[in-house]
Amino acid sequence: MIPNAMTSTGPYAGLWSHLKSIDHTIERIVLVDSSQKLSELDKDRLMALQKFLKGGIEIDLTSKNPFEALLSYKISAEPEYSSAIDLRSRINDIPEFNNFLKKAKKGYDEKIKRLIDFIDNYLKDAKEPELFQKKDEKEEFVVLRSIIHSLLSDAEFAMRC
Amino acid sequence: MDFSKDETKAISSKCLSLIARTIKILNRIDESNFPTLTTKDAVSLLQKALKWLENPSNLESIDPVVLYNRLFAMQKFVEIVEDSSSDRISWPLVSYCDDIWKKLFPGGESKIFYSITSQHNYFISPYSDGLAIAMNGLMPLSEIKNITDNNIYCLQLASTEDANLQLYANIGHEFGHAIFYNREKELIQSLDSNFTNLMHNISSDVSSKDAANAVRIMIRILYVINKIATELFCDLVGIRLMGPAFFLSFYELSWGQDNSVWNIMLSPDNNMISAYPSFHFRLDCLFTFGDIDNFCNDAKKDFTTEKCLSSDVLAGCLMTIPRDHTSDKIAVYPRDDQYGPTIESTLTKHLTDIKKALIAFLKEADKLMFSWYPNVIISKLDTAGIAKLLLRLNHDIPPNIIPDTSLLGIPASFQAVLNASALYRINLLVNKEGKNVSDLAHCMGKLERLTAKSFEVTYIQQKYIEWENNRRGGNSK
Repeated sequence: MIPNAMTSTGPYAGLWSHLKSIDHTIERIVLVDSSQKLSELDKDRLMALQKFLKGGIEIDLTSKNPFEALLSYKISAEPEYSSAIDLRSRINDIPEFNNFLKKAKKGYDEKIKRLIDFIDNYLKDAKEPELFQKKDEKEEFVVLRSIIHSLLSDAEFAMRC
Repeated sequence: MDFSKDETKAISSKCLSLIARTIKILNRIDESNFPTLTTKDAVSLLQKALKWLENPSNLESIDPVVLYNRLFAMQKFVEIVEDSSSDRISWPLVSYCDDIWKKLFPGGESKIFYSITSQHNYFISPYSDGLAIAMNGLMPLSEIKNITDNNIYCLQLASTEDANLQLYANIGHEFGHAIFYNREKELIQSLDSNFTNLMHNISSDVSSKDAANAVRIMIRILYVINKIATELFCDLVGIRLMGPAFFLSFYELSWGQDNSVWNIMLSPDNNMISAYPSFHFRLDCLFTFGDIDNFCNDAKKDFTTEKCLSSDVLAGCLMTIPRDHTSDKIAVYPRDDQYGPTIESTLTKHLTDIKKALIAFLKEADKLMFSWYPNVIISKLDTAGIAKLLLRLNHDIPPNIIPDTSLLGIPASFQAVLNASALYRINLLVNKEGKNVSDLAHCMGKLERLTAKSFEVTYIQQKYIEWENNRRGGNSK
């Protein structure tokens, strides 16, 4: 047995693939200097990242129909990873995220909202967005990428355990 | 060649060759061996997905490393269709099951095909949805939806038990999963109405233990209870489709395990969380909802009248199956999950109330089942007929006909054959005194063959009657 070989099954393999494909899209945007257009898959991955940052399911604990509320979030082809990861404590440890908007003294919620809005605008602004569209927007992508990288290394470790 | 730059290229090329190889494997599968025609649909689903991945323009935005990983993960879908062969699967039996399936889903909104598993268990899995999840990150969601639009399930049968036809009663439970998925909205409403107060109490408890993570923990608890309710609903479907034979076969699957544990397996993906009530609680629910008590009383009278073997003991054996769940406990895995201990202690504290709410949910679900499928589910089995089939088995005659005053007798129903064979088999297993290994193996083998023959004959007879009725009605197909 070669213990480091890639694991393709198990609960963390799906999480790893999910994060890695998001990372690939950001990499294409940040690193590839080309006029290639964002594909449908790229857009989907950015939306998946947005969903991930939002923390997934928002549920009112005093609701009379909690199971129904849960059902309304279900999308058959999409995994639901939000409640397994304590995103706040995990992301706060990442230096790039810590330094992000430091001068403006923004807290976790504001920073996350800024990143979510940033993705939203990136997808919305340009009807036909091109890779590496606005150079001054690069910082947000770098922060996003460092978040994904940290979560990816956690998933990779868990996948092999 | 410089691997610091060229590794991605090499991975991409290997992916392409893997895709080509997998397509070749799929093209080579012998369709004539499929137990039912739906396996073809599953193969074509896989072929469509692979063809899409093969297209160079689609490959451009895919991470080769993710593709590499997912292609290996997809091999299990290939293995399942390769194992879908009538060499190992009793075709009359799955054809009977397929007929039941078509009555449950008459509009063809969901299809099913049959395969085997090396595990000692029976599984139904949403094949098309599973493939959709495996394609997550490789294909845009719109394309995934387009390719997997045809809702296909796969039922995997325990390969080690392929001759043990009585154990196939577990298929009833597996069908329950597809019903739950298709009727989810109504069943979830019932779950909500029976759990409202309890969920408030659980939520307050969780908030007092870990306020910062209360929502995250509660979401997982909701998933866990949903999964537990699903399993119990499926058991209900099992007993309603197969009768007491399901109670017996389910009991057999519990052998060798700690039957008082509610096993919960958390997962990073909430949809993959699995949760099972204890066997004792499940058997007790089956006993109540399956009306086993009355079945045993009726059987006792009819088995004695027909002078069946061990009539007094055999009729009552179902009553003795252990189902005391008062000392049940909850176990949450993996042990190192951050929220596992809170989930375990909370569910343990509320276990009695959870059981009550689940039983109330099952009562409502049972009524719904009767309203949805009045012509498919069993409310009462004819114990006099089963007694006559047991008598035939005792004389090494296939249990396919219930003798009456006519020359031909009445063709036995699928459930009658299944239940008579299941009871006969359990009698053989328990009362083996005086038999050596080869005697026992001989008796078991004989029962397997007599049962298989009965399924085959009664199925063909049923199809012939349908054809004959159609022909008389002017339809010559």
